[in-house]
Amino acid sequence: MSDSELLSKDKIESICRNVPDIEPMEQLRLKVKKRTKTFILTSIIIAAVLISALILLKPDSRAPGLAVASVFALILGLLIFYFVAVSPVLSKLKTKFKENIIKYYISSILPGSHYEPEKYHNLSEYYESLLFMIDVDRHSGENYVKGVFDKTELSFSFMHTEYKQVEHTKNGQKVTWHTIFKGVFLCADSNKNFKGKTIILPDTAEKYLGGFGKWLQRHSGNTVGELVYMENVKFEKEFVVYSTDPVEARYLITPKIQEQIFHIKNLLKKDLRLSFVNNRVFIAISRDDIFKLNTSLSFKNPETLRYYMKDIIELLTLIHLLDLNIRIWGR
Amino acid sequence: MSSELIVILVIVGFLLLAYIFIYNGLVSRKNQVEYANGAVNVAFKNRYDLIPNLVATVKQYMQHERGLLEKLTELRSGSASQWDAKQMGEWDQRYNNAMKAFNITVENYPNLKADTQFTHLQVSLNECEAQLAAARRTYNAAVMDYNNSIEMFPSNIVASMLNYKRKDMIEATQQERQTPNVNNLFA
Repeated sequence: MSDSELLSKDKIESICRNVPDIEPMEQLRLKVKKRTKTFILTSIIIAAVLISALILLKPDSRAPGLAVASVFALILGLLIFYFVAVSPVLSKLKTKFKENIIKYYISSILPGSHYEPEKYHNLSEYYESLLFMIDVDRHSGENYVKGVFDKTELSFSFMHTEYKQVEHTKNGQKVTWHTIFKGVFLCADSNKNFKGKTIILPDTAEKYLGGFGKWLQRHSGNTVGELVYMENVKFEKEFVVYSTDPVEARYLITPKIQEQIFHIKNLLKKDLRLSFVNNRVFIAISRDDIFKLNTSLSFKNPETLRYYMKDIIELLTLIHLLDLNIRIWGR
Repeated sequence: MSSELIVILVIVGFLLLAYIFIYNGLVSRKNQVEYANGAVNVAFKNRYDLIPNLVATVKQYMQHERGLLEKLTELRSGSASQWDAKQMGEWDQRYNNAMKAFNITVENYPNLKADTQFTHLQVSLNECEAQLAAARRTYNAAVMDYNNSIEMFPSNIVASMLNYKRKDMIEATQQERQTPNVNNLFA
């Protein structure tokens, strides 16, 4: 997503230039890389030795117990090596990465903001959004950010919500976990006042069933409200809108906003949901992670530092494209 | 009961059910159009009611713009609640002309632009415009749905029995479609 409208190149360069403690972080990254490499190489060698030993030691070998014990000992040794030598350094690097880079970026772009790497949105806000109607049985998340962008109060975090399916089999119960949502959940103040509830969901029915899908949607409805058609054909093919008030829905989702949402969807190439509830806008973007550390990229490379800024800029661009940061309505 | 009679009863029952289903659908669509029309009227009235406040606020700053002030004052003559669609359309055109001229003239009055009450009024007018646009879009969507149902088979049969006629959408006037010519606004 283009960041040209949001932050000037000079500003981005200036932020990237002043990232604190680059050298110690780079040393730590090299250490992680070296240990990971050692771990992988040792694992490959051990696997090769084990396979060779299994080929050489026939099933009628005189010491099968010794072979099994050796296998376990080697695997255990590898695990111990990983948990003692690799994992703590990696976690330390991840913590430093979030503290030194992500926190710094967020405070530079959103002055006065608040970043908690371990926290995420609570379920009450998630349910308030009306974006997902399935009850959550298990949830997790990270990277909670709360701040003000221009005049828009916003918060976002990475969330993973799941529901459980219990099957009764001959051997007892079988529990399967299914993902409801995995991605970035964002709440922002709306720039318009509204009383009703409006949701924008991916339109799978119309996309795959065409006119029949539309007919089905119209007659099946949604717990939020009635189906509201929008004028933009491209938008209508990708999304379905339900609202408690069709006039208000069109007041919120203007032709320009329809165009922008379609544009955002094309840029992100991810499942996108939006809702307008209680004078707030909720956005859910499906993705696997946010602010992910890539240990193969050097912190000393300016490209890497710009790469790590991408996620924040992408989310703020979204706010910008939806005009949420424009307070022409006096809110 | 003979089999022929059962077949006839089934057919009659099916036709009756289809009639009820189509009838209810048509009434629902007609009511949607009326609801949307009501929303347009409310948004229209809100904008109409803001005119006296606007005139009162700008009067003290724009004393030399008598013609413009008169144009704005005239906009408030008559009772908007009794207007039909045509009258509303005519008023809308006059309003748009006056506001275009007004917005250009405002640029010459920095004190007015800085006035808190005026800023608030501008926000309210913008809000009214956005709500009116949304109401009009809703009206057009409802009319499209209604027109589709009275022209499509088999609902067109029931619609003609009920004497339902096509409704017109709200369209931009010829003047609105043209690129604004600033010189004409003060003519």
